[in-house]
Amino acid sequence: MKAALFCTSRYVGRTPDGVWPLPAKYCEPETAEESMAITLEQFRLADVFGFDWVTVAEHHYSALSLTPNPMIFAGALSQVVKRAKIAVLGPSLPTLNPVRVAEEFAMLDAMTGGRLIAGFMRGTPNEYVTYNFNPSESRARFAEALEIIRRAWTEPEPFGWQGRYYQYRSISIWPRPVQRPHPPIYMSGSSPEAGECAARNHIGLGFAFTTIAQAAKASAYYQGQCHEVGWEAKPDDIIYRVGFHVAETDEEAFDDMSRAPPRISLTTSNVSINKAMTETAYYGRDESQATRTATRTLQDRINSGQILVGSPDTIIRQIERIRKEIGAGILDCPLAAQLGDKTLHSIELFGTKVLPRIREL
Amino acid sequence: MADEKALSDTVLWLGDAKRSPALRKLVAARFRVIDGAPPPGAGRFGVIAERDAAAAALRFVLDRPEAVTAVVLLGPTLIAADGRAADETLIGQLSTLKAPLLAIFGTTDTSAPPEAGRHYRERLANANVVFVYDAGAAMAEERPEAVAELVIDFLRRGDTFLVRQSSDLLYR
Repeated sequence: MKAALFCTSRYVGRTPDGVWPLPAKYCEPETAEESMAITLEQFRLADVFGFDWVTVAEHHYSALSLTPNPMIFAGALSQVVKRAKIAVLGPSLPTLNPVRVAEEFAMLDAMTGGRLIAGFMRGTPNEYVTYNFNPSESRARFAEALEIIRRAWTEPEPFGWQGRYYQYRSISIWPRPVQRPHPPIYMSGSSPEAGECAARNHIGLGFAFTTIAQAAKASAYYQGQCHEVGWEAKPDDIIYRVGFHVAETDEEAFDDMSRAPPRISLTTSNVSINKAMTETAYYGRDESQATRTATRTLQDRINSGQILVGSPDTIIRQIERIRKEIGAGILDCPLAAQLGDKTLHSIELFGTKVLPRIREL
Repeated sequence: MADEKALSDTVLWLGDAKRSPALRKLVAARFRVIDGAPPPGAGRFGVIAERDAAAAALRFVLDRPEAVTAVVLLGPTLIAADGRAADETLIGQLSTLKAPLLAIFGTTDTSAPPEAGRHYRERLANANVVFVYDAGAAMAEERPEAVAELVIDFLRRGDTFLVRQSSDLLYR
């Protein structure tokens, strides 16, 4: 298996919890600067300790994430992370200009010598408020934007595009991506619609902030759909995103987590937005995703595969379960970022004591 | 009907006149549409040709370089996706084509695939290529409004169709 370190570039200062959008008045510029510097250092350590990828993502108007444009952060990472692949997982594709995304990703691929992993997201519910798009059109916009990007990366001559949601008279991006025909592509989503889209487009699929049981079901569906359209998904086509904290012993890891500051809620915590999103059929045929963010105890979250906590031996057993039940070949691991030096030690332990032993899973 | 800014107010439709009624209706709302040979005194005109009619249409255009204002090819089959042309002589002659040309391909078309488009850009003078998303061999019927907007804009403005003129203003 491979593993990625995922940092959202969390704001390290104090802010109200469970509020979205979070008023900008709470953002102290110096603290934001410090937060991003801490994140860069965490990524640098991940590179040093052998993580396969480092991951950045897009979220808006929140202290959880200071990377509303993850491509900018990935540009900075290209100068700090010298070995690992840089996974942008990713832009909220339906709310962006797909040609611009193709250009920025191609730039990143050139700046990293072909180390870009391209992830395209439909976005968490709040992203649709951010740029004022109708979520009911998000799947159709996503599918069209994905095709534009692929053609922008591969067409050798200028071309125009007469789409349903996008229209361009001439596209001819510079630079072209280093990886040919293009960087590896992933999308995310646990719904049947996401599995079908990924299979149809012959791209990888990621499951984020879900449970092993739900991801296993979605993964099986995706693999079945791939088979239906004539190709077989491999473990490297399947990503499972799961938070982690590793310490020398289980007791220490649990103690660290119990002393951690309260977990900042996900950016999707605005109840009225989630209700409105459900009404637009954003969640497709699997509406259970809309309600799965209920608060659970740490042990419940460990048991259901929502977080990895413990000593290296314990974590490895949890990862073995993910590999076996979901078939995932790539772990995308958000770290418990708020634990100071213990967070840095957790990165080191994962890289030196866990990674070498999950390679052959 | 008179459109002072258009390159021409007449369009010559070459090929099967019954093939794409929905597109034809939309084009006819803006241009005088003529099938087959132009009548005496027709003046300058744009040309539309679909599928296999593209070869005959281009020979026609090469014979009348001064009369043709713009050429639109819908799903042309002159050049395959691998770059091979059925009539290399014709393709060679097209390097001297003066009229602006637009070749339109549907992204799901398998007989005139979008991958052929790049060869039109490489080998024909003044060629523009546009892909119509989620449309196949019958793109003019599958997505008539999308195709018509493109065709009409190109016949009116030729190469300057590259620059958008419609407004994005929400409110005054």
